[in-house]
Amino acid sequence: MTSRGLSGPANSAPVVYYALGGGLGHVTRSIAILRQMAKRGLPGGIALTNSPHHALYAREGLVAASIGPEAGQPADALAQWVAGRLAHWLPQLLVVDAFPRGLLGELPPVLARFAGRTALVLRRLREGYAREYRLREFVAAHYDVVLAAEVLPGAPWVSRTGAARDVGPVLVRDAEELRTREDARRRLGAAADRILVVGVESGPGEHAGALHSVLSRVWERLGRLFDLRLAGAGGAVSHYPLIELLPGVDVVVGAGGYNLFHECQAVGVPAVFVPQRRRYDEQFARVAGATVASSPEHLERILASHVAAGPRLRPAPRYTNGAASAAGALLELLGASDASIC
Amino acid sequence: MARGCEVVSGFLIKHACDYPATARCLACGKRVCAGHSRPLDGVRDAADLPFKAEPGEEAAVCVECVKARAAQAQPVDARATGDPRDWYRDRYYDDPYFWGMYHHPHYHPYSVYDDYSASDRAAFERDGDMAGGYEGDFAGT
Repeated sequence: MTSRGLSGPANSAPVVYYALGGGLGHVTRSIAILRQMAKRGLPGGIALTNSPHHALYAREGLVAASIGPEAGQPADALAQWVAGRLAHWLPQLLVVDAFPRGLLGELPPVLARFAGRTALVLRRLREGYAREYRLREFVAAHYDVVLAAEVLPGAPWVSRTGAARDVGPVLVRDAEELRTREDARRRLGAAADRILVVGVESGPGEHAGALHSVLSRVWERLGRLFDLRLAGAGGAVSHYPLIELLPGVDVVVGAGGYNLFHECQAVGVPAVFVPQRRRYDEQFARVAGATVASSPEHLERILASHVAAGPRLRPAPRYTNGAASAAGALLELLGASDASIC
Repeated sequence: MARGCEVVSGFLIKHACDYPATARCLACGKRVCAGHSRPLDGVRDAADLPFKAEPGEEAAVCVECVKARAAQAQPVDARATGDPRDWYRDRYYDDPYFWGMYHHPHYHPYSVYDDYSASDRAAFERDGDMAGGYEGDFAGT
């Protein structure tokens, strides 16, 4: 692949990462990959976001351009905004997260005019969406590379250059960046000899807050025999990213979103999932095979068994971070080796 | 077994659990999920239960039938086989599904659901469909 070089105008950015979408998944994947690219010698990537949590980018030392619902709708307004950002920063690489056609389906004309490289970071999507919008055909025609950030069911996804590359779960922290069990528990105010359960509320929708409510009632009904901390929307634990503290947690309870599911799997923390319906994401399919609570009483039984077993020490987490693999693939796409850009 | 759990629950809003059924209740014949089932040795006189599991189905009893039998247990045969009330109490005293029955006896035995609101239960629902309406939701995920 021919290198297009990394020099450019003063206001240029080598990479623009399109991370529009609800929840924290898009924000966190973009942060994970942009910081890994920076680690590998290519800083300066810029994220595009519509998230109310856009301040997280600055906290991570990254730059983001943010747009709200008033300016970002309808689709042609959003297309204009995206095209304007690309014209301003003149990136050599556009990375799109999850939605091949964009959140509002605004990207086709943008991609048709974009002269740089294009990459899609893909997680599970509803097959109905993929079929209705012929996403596989669209991706094959418009993207130079597809990076599979988890197992993708159904027919294969291919790009202009070949089959999707399985980079594995994209995590915002490497294993060596996590807190120790003792430090994490100290930060969470947990006793050493009691089970620590962290409930993570996530996502928008009519059930927001319900998981915290259920967990509080379970905690009462089980005689407050474990320490309970509530994270996410409305919870007292606001630490970001939560994965840093997971080594100190005995049980996580949350929906089946991308971040929480893969973070728990990577860290090895026992988790109980209460999957939620999402318009695009397939939480029920993602957590199939994991521990899933089907009712409040079922959740009680599972947590009671953990309380009876008591805290269990786990080995320090060791995992391969898909964000690093993704960053490597993107640098390769840019035609830049680590040595040439350091 | 591809069908959903047929246990109907809910305090304000009754609804089918509908999680994947893993067993058949041999007392009432309902197909039930793991959360709403208990092993056969969780009821007295299991050999007399009226239903049979079909091939591929696990034989079990649903929590509603266990609770009904526990609530209806009378000490008539206590001298011969022990008090049936103790028999159930020994098995389910720490089972959260029976928490209300054994830890809040001033409540009606069937009222353990009182501790959870309809919105609490809604968090566990999987029916309803958000499919469709793609590319029209600025906060979609």
